[in-house]
Amino acid sequence: MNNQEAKFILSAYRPSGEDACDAVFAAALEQVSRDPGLAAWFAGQRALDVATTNAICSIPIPQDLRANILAGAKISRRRFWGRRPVLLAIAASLVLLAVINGVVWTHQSHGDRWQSDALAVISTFVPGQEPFDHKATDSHELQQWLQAQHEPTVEVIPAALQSLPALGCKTISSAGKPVSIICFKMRDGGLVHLVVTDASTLKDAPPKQPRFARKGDWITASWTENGRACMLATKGAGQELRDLLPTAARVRADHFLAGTLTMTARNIVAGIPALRRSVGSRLQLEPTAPPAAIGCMVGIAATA
Amino acid sequence: MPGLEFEQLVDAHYAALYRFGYSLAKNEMDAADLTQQTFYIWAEKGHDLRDAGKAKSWLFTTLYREFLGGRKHETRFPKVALDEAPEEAVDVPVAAEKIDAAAALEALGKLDENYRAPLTLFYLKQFSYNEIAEVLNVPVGTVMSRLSRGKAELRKALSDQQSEADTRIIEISPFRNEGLARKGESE
Repeated sequence: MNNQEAKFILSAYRPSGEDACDAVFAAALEQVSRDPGLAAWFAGQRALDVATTNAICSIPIPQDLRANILAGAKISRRRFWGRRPVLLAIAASLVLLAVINGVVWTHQSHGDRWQSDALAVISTFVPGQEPFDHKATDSHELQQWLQAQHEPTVEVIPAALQSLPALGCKTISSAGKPVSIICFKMRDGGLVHLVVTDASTLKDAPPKQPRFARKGDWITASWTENGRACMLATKGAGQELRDLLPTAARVRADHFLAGTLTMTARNIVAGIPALRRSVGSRLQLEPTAPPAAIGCMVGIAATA
Repeated sequence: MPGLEFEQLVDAHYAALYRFGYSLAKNEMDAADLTQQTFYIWAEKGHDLRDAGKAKSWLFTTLYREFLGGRKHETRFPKVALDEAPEEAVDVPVAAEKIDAAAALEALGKLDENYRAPLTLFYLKQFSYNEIAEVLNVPVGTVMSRLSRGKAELRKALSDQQSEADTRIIEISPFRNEGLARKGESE
């Protein structure tokens, strides 16, 4: 080893002496001990290294850097984990909407005429000038009036609806069959309408579990109870509609929604090839959801 | 990683990381950003590191990668290849006692980044050549070559700096004498 090679190697020798036992430096250090000229160079090099180390280690640090790092890390963690519930909530809401949309897609084409006719009449109502057959703020009074007129009505008005002030009721004829409408005012000022007809006269009566649908601006829930085909309709949110359902129907609705969600989750997987490949075999896919629902699900996946 | 451990990790390395970032980016703001970004990445990923003893290397490697990531390809990989072979170092006189932080930073700033990064690691945290190779992801021989040539370059830059300072004309304020004269008058 000549001095030039020794200098090359010793350039990586730390001034703290930590590398004294490293075999890579052994020969170079040996050379230093033999050559006074090289030893002088090495001493100068180490003195310069120490001075440079001290100089660089005295570069001032911004006073707020440490606090900013710690605060930033906390915010980052909170943001990372904290936003998950928000994302989940958004995803859950979208799933619910997708379910409703999916159900709408499935059922709106059935075109239950009594429902369409009732909504058509309600849509002509001018606020404050509704052409009610009977006006009352007490829904019991309206119910009794309808019974007295031998018009169709539910045996018991759902408790949640009873707590709302009524506006009045109207009877119409749909394909020669009587249909009654009771209007209620919701707490947010919006209206919700209970439409009832005799289920036995219908070819395609609603099921016992409430069926949600969107008809234009309207969100509806329809079900059959004690021989009466019922529909709740509002231009508000689906969740509000669900809360106004009769208790039993609401329970059935929740079971129904839960089942549909499970099914929809499978359909999400069915709609995404990569997911299908990874978990499809375990889920026993049932790709029964309408394309609109799957499209919405893919949107959710992309959003999340 | 629990909050206290994270705080300990920050205390142990944030100053050196900032100084390393400063030597690379050459300005305080980018250095602070690089340091914070590094700990942010640690907060999200670093706790997965199985060997806690590797934390130091991990942090410096991450900061270096973040620095490189923010630069253009051409800057990162200069087309002119560096000669990694040892060459005769020209020893120029440098007064070690005159080297302060500002002088060191100015001199380091004049070096090519290929020398600046390993030199800063060498001086800052007393990284071994093996550790520097790991952080910068280059062969050990390359690290030794860059340290050797980098030190020669640094020595030259410091020497030039000191020579310039020695020959600089120091302007003497006329008010100084005036003040002294007034002081003398009042006496």
